[in-house]
Amino acid sequence: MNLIVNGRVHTTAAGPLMTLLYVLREELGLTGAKAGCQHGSCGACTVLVDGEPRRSCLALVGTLDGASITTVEALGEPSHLSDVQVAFNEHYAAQCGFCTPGMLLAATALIKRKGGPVERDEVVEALGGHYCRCTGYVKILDAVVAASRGERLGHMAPLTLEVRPVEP
Amino acid sequence: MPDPEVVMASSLAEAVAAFGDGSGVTVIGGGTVVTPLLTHGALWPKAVLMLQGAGLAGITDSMVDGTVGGGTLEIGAAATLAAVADVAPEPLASAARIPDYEIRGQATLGGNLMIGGDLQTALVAMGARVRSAGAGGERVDPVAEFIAAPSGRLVLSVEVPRPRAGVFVQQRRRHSHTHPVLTVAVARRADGGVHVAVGSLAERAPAVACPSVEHALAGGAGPREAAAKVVDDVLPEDDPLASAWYRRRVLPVLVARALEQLEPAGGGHMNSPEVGT
Repeated sequence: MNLIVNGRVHTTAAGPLMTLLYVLREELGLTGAKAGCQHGSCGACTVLVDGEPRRSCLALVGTLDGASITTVEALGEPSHLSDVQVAFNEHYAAQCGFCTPGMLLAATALIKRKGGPVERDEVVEALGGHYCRCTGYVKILDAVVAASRGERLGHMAPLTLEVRPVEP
Repeated sequence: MPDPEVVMASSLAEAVAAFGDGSGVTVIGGGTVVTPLLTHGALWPKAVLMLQGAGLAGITDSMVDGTVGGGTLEIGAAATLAAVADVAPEPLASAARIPDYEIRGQATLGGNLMIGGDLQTALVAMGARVRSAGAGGERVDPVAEFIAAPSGRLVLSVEVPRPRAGVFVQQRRRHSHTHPVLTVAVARRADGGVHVAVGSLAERAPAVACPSVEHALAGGAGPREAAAKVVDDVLPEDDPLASAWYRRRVLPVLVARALEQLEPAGGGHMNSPEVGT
């Protein structure tokens, strides 16, 4: 069974009834997708499967042969964040960060789907399956709307985190 | 315990053969219900049939000229709820718009039917028919009969007669992943008759038709008067979401609301608000 994860072909040793979340975290060491509730409710494991946000904890390997998977690790890097990541940073839309990868991917897919500015209620609908226990959501909604409009506040210092790629 | 035997069916015939009479076979359509059971070890099946590649996701619309009412939609069992919500008439479209975006894109019509999901209520009101395979071969049943005893059957597709108008009303918390507290679907079918169904009367209870309400409507009763009869048609139960007492109190209100929103015969307006709690 072959998956294309962040542009690279990965031949998985996992059986057809294992989840994509398992493959990402345990086989590939990609821990951006979080193992939260592991029954599809919290949204923290969300990744893009062929461009559409999906719960990796509900996606069985047997249904994914040849699928293209995008995780938060491929969205941007500390020195070059994606527009949505910049907006999350500028609007203080992340606190503990557990839900952030899923939020980022679902928001990225929403903006791509709409192809332009999105309304607040569209963000509410698109992120409705993602739980955040820290922010109260308001800043997340602000960030996604701003990202969809290409707005940048530009008030944040550039991130200077050291990049440490995870060895698969 | 041995690993389950997994069949990833690549055709309808292969799926039907692998299902057999269904005994010991766990069917996975979208996998939104079964996958957590596997992950957490709550289910260790003998055999698993995966439908994704079996060609059961197609949707065929017999009506192409755009008239309201008439024609039949045939929806494959593996069609996602997102696909159903996109093409189906009310009340089915609103019933399929379950929370949330990701789950809608993965969960399937067949799975929803088998687990007592929200779509049952709409399909009963619309007079849908279920094509299934299993012991004794292929069969077509009225949906209300099918969902009363679905075990041992593999849903292949659902035939949905297009109504003239329909309304779906539900009592649920926004974006909650639980079943709704109550669902109500009303449909003015192609012959002009109004049909009413209710669901979520108890945990995993099948949706039921409401002949007393329909009879009252046919006899000229107004929406509120007819809706009051709904308590004669149902046996609500206590479950973690609501008590039977609460359901009996709220149901006539929801049914009346749905009926009031249903346009007169020939009307094309369809509306389906979400009821807050």
